[in-house]
Amino acid sequence: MRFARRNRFALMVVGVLLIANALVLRQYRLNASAHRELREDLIVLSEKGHSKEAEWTYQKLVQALPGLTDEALLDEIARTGALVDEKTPQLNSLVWKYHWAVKRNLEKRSEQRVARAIKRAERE
Amino acid sequence: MAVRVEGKFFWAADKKFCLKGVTYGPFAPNEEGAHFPAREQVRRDFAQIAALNANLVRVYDVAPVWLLDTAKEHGLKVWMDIPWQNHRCFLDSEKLMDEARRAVGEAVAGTKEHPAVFAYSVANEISAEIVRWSGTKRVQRFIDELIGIAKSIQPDCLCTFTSYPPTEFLTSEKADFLAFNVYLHDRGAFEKYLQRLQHLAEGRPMVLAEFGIDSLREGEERKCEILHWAVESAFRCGLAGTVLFSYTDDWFRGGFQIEDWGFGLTTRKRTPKDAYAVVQNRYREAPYFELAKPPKVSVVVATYNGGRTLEACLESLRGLNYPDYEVIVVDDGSTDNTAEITKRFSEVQCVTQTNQGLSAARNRGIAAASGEIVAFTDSDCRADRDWLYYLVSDLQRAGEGFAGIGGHNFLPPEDSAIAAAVLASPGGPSHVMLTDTEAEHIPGCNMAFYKWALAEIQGFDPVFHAAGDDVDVCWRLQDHGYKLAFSPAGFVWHYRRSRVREYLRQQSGYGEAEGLLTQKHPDRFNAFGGSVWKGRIYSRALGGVLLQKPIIYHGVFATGFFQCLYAPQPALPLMMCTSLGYHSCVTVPLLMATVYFPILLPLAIACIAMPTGLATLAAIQAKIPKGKQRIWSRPLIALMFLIQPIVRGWTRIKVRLVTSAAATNLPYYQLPEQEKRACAFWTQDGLDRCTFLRALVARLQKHCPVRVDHGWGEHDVEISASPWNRLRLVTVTEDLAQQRRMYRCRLEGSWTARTKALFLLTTAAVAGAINVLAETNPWWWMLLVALPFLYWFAEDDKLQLQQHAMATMEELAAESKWSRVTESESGKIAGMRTADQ
Repeated sequence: MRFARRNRFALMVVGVLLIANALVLRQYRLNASAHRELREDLIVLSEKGHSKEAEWTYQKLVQALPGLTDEALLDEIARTGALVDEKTPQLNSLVWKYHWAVKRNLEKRSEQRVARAIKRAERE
Repeated sequence: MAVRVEGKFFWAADKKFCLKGVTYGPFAPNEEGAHFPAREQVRRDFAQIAALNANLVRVYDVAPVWLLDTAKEHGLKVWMDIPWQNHRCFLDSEKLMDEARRAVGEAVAGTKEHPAVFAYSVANEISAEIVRWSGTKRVQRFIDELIGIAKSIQPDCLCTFTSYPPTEFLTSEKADFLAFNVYLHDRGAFEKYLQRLQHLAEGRPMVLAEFGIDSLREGEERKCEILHWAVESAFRCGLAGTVLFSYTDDWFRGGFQIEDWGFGLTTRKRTPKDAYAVVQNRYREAPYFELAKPPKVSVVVATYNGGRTLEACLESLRGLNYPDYEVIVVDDGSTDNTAEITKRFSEVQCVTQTNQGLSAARNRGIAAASGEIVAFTDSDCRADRDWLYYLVSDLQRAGEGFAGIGGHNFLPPEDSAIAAAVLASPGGPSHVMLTDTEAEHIPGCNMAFYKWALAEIQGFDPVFHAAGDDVDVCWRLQDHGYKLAFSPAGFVWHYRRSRVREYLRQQSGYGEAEGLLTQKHPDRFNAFGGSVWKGRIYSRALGGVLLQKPIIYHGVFATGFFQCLYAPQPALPLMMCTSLGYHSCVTVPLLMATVYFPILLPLAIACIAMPTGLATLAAIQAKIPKGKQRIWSRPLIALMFLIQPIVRGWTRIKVRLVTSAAATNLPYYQLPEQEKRACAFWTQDGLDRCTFLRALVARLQKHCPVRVDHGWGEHDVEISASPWNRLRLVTVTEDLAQQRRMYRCRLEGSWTARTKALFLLTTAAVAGAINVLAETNPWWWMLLVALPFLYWFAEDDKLQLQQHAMATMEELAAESKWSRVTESESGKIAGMRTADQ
C-alpha cells in the first residue's frame, strides 16, 4: 500500500500506458472489421448495380490497402477470389479490379520481402 | 466678455471667472409688468450687490435689456432662469412643451450676445414627482432639447438647468455646467454633499445655484455663522461659484408677497443685515481661502522622450497659483530635445539619468525633492493653474490617516478627435473611488503624496518601467493603513495618444505592468488575471457594457429629500468574451475544429459575434467628449475594445510566464509523506496563532506572493509560490491547561486557473487528435499518456510547494521555540487536556 502511494504517479502513467496499448489493439481490430464491412458493401453494391456508390467504396478500400496486414490481405484475396474468375480480365467489375489491386499489393510486399532477404543473406 | 467653460471652471478671456453671486427676485411686477423693481431701484440694488464683492446676479425671469445694461454698468453678470410651467406635467401636454420651447427661444433671442449675460437656466427645480411621473429619460431629453434650442440661436452661450437634492438623479448631457440648489445647515453634511455633487459633475464646473439661511427661523447670528463657513466650504470643495439666496427679503412668489421668510442679506428696504458684511468679507477672499501653513511642494515630472508636450507642461507649471513649490524634471535618458527644452526653464531643476524606467526616475525626483509634499505629473500633461492649491487644500482638509491625493485628468480642448476616441476606449488612466472622498486608486499623471509616506514604503518599485507604479504605490500605502483622498478641482489636462499604434503600445505597457502587479499583489487580482477593485472606476469607457438600468431611490411616495441614482456596474464578466483567454480557448479552437466538423461553423460564428457585439455595444455606450465625435469615432472605439484586451492580455501573460515567482528560495526539507499537508506544534509560552501567522506571512513574502484572506474565506493565508499551484494554510489553536497550546496547521494545495486551463486544453487536444487521426493510425492512442504525465508534473509541483511551505513553518516555529509534534504525540498531548481537566 505504501509502495502504491509513494509511486502513485508512476503507476498511473504505467496504467494509462497499458490502457493506451489496449486501445491501439482495439483500434486495429476495429479498423480491420471496418475494412471487411466495406469490402462486403462493395460486393453487394456491385451485385445490385449501384455503380456510383460502389466506385466510391472501391476507392476507399484501395486507399486503405497499404495499412492492412498481410493476413488481412490474404483474407481479402480469399473472399474476392471466390467471386471472380482470376484468369479472365473483367475490367467492368469493381470486385475483380479490387481483387487484382489486393493481389498486386501482396505481390509488391513479397518482392520487397525477397529483396530484403537477399540483402540480409549477402550481408551475412 | 463671454464666459466659457474649461475643465471644472469658467474663464473670461485669459482669467478664471469665479461666480460670486446673489439671487435677485422675483419681485412684485413693476409698472412694465416685469418681475423686477423700478429701474432706479435696480440701479441702487446693483450698486449694493457690487459693493458686496459679488460679480453675478441670478434672476428668475427673463431680464429686459435695460436690466442687463445696468448690470454691465456695475460689472455684474446675469444668470437668467427662463420661466415656463415646469411645475406641471409638461410632457403630457404638447401645448406646454411648445410654450417651453418658445419661452427658451424668445429669451435667448431677446438677450442674444449681450455681454452681461452669463448663462441661461432652461429649468429650475422640476419636481421629483413630475420627473417620476413623466420618466427620467424623457425629462432629460426634453431638457437637452431646450438647451439645443438655446444653442441653435446662440451657439456659444452657456446653458444649464438647475436641480436640487430631490432630483439629484436628473442629469443633462448638453448642460455646460451643473447647478444645484442646496440648503444644508451642518458643515460636515454640506461639504460631503458638495463632494458627491462634484462626482456627478465629472469634468464640468459645479455651481451652487442657491444656498441661504432664514434670519427669522435661525436667527441672524446663526445665519452669519453658517454663511461664514458655507462660502468658504463651497470654494474649498472646488466649486466654480456660489449664488447666495438672496440679496433681499423682498420676495414675491405665486402671486403673493412673501412676508414670513428672511433669507435676504438686506431687509425689504435694502438695509444691510449683519450677514451682508460676513458675505462681503468672504466674497472678497473667495475663491482662494488661505491654506493653513502651506507646505512646500515638489512637482516631479519624469520624462522619457516627451519633448513633444514637455514645453506646454513646464509652461503650465511655471504659473501655478501656489506660494511655495519647486519643479523637478527627471530626464530618464531621453534622446529627443527634452534636455534643450528643460534648459529654457531656468527655474526648473533638471536631474538626468540613463534610461532606467519610470519608477526609478520618480524615485530620483523624490530624492531631489525638498518639499514636504511630492506631486507627480507627466510630460504629456498640462496642469491647471490652481492644481496644487486644490490638491494641498483637499489633502489638508482630508485630515489624519491620508497619505496622498489625486485628481482628474481631462482631455485638453485642443486635442484631436482620435485622442478623444482613445479617451473613450478601455484602459485609460482613471481614478477609483471607495467613497465620495476616499480613493482606492489615483492616476500617476495627477497625484501627490507626503514625502514621509513615500519614504515609509521606500518609494516607487523600480520593477515598473513604463506603468503600474502608481497602482503599486496606492496599494502599498493602503496596505500600510493609509488612505488616499481625491480632489475634484485639482486637475490636469492630459494629452492622449493621438495614434492607434501608440495607444496599443501604451496598452501593451499596461499589460506588462499588470503582469508584474499580479505577482506583487495577488490578492488584488482574480483567477483570470483581472484586477479586483473594491471601489468604483470612473472612466469614460466604463470598462465594459452596461446591461442594467440605473436604480433611482425616490423614497416612500417619492418624497425622498435626496433622491440618488445608483448607477449599475458594467458587466465585467461578460467582457471576458473579448479577452485573449477567450479567443485562445474558445474562438480559435472552434474555428480549427470547423475544418473537420463543418457542423460547428454556426457555433464558431456565434463565438466571434459575441465579442464583436459586446465591443460594438461598449462603443455605443462610451462617452465621447462634446464636439470631438466624428463619424468614425464609435467604430474606432469598437475596434479598440476588440483589440485592446488581446494586446494587453498577451503582454500580461508573457510577463507572468517569464517572471513567475520561484519557490526555490524557500527552505526545503524532505518530509515524510503525511507531514507535507498537516503538522502540529506544541508550545508552553503565550505566543498566539495570529502573531505566528503574521511572522509567517512576512517571511514568505520575501520569496513569493502571499495573500492574506480578507475574512470571507475559510483559510488564513494563500501562498502562490508557483505558477501551477497555490497553497492554502488553515490553522487552529487547541487551548490546553496551564497556558499550553497546540497549533495545528493544514496546507491545502490546489491547481491554479492556469494549470486547470492547461490540463483541460491538453485533454481537449488529445481527444481531438485521437478522434481525427486514430482511425488511420491507431498509435495515436498513445497520446493519452501525456495526460498522466501532466498530472504528475502538476501534483509533484504541489508536493514540492508543500514541502517548502512546511519547512518554512517549521523554521519559524523553531525560532519561536515551538516543538513539532507527530500525529501520535499530538494525540497524547490532546489526551493531557482531559487529564488536566
